[in-house]
Amino acid sequence: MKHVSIGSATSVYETVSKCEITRHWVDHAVLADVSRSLRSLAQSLDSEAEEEFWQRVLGPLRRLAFALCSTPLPFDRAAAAACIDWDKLHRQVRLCQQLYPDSHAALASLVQKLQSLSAETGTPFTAPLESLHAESGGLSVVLRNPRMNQAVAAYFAASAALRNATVVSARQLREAHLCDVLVAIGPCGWFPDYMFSAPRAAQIHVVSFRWIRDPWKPGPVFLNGAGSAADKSRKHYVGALPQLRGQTVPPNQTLPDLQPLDLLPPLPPFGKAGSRIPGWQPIAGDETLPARLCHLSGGRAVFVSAD
Amino acid sequence: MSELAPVNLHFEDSGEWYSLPEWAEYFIGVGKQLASADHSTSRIVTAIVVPTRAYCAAFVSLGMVISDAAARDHSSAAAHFEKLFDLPAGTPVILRQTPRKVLKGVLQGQEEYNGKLYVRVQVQSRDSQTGGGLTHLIDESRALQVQPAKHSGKLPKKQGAENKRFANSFVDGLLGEADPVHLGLRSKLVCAIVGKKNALEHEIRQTPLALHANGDRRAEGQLQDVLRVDRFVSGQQSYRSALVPVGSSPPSGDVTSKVEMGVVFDGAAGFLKWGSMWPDRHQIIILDRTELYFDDAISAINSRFSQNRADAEFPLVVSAAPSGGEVLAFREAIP
Repeated sequence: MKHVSIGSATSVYETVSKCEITRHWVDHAVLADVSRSLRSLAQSLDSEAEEEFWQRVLGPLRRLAFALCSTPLPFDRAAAAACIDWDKLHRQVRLCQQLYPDSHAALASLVQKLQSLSAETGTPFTAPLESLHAESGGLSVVLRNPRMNQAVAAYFAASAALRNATVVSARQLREAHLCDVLVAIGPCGWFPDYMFSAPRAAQIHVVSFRWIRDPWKPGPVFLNGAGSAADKSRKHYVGALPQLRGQTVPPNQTLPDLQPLDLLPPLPPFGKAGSRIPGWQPIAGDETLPARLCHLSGGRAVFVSAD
Repeated sequence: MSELAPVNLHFEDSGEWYSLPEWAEYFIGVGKQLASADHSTSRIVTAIVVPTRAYCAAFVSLGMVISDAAARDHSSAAAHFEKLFDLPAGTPVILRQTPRKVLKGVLQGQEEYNGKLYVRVQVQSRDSQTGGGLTHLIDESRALQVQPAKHSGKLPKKQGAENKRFANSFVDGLLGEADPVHLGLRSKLVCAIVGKKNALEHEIRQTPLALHANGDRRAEGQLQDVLRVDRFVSGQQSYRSALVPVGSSPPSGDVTSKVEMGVVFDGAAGFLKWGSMWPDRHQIIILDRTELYFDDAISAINSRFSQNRADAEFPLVVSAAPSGGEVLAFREAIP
């Protein structure tokens, strides 16, 4: 455990008091359409979405859409990192025509659009990142999907305009890791609240697609409305909190937003190696990791990496 | 309660000494205010959200121990005077006439003089040719100046005004008018700190601090010199606070029953686990926003606030929250 000195703790308090959070919106019409179509398809399936066929199809599609929405990599690189097996997906589309003819057109269109997106050699994140990098001379970038950290770090290192950008983890931002400028890729709702309420950077830029709703704002956590301000049986104070700067909602918003959670890919299935549940099979393309199940007091349990 | 001396602490960073920052003074102030808070029918619950937990609980505890020492009333001196009566003649002691004037001595027993009781303390050796053997008569009002000590009992012919071996200027300076002798003499639990042992040990035992006056560094020490955490004292040293590590073992019955002023929860985990173990003592709960169980702890406090809040007024000296922080303080009915 790394101990925090009084000096480091003081820096944290100073950073909070002067922290400004600025939102930046980026756009991509086709990706917006794909994201909305994906949500619509999942909603239209209702309980059928739990069926194995749809899990095998929607899982990779949601992973890919999420990768494109949350990773500052050119779309072709992000798609490669997401390891999508297009041949298999096309076979699923053909199978869908027989099994679920009602949903075939929507699925075929979605797969076609995603495959087309996956061939693009740019990402809307590049322009704001390069601009912020040029302004500050360097920045720290945090991603929602840590599995992309390595690919993004390699991309930054090879890019002249982003050479001084470093990838940091949300965990690092729990401790006394301080940086001047932090860029979060995606809406605040994708990240732990402390990244913004107990910031480790004086400037935080949240770069997100404009069709993803991002209602986060700093505010109190304790109940305080149960009495008047003159109520002497309680005291409630809120210290200096980070300030939101600039526009807090995207301009010219016309289409309905997606919620941050709408885009998150499904949790990976957990299976007990050696004694799996009868009939359980990993879905093609799923990543399997050895893990230990740890039971905690209070009826909680967590999976931790077996490594 | 005597006036508390302002804390003029400095901390060291990269070889330089700096005044204790405002946030640290804030937490010392939170601890100090509890000394005068009654907990007969309700107790004060103070929940403080912070951007980093570092040192918060340690400084709150420091405030509690300092204020407790300052609040010591005459009955403590009387009780101590009686204890001195029980010690056998020849017991090595130190006599602290002023914070900076400390003499080695030997207790010679009690005496009555003009209808008043005294203990006699010898501070010089006696010589058949040159005399010597200076003694002091100590009445009840000065009883706390005499503290049993571990020296050999062999007295010099003449003692200097300062005996640095027995003086602790750091403690003297922090306690102000409060007599530090008492701190070293009697064990009691002013407070318990529930938290991670490693982090707290680093903060309490391994962080150099110093008292400055007029721009000069006067005395160095650690928080442990005043907090005297039970797990960090050795041998016969007295303790003043208890550390309850957040682990699988619950706090001992001694710790739950003997805490006099309050409990400081350094983090959500300890609070959620053992928050109900001291039902009639003040609670200060430090919640780091980056903690895993932060939201659970906030829910628990909000629930207690809405269900158990007592309609009793209380004076809260602290009237703000640190940067990035939030404070909710209320009186909670004692079941």
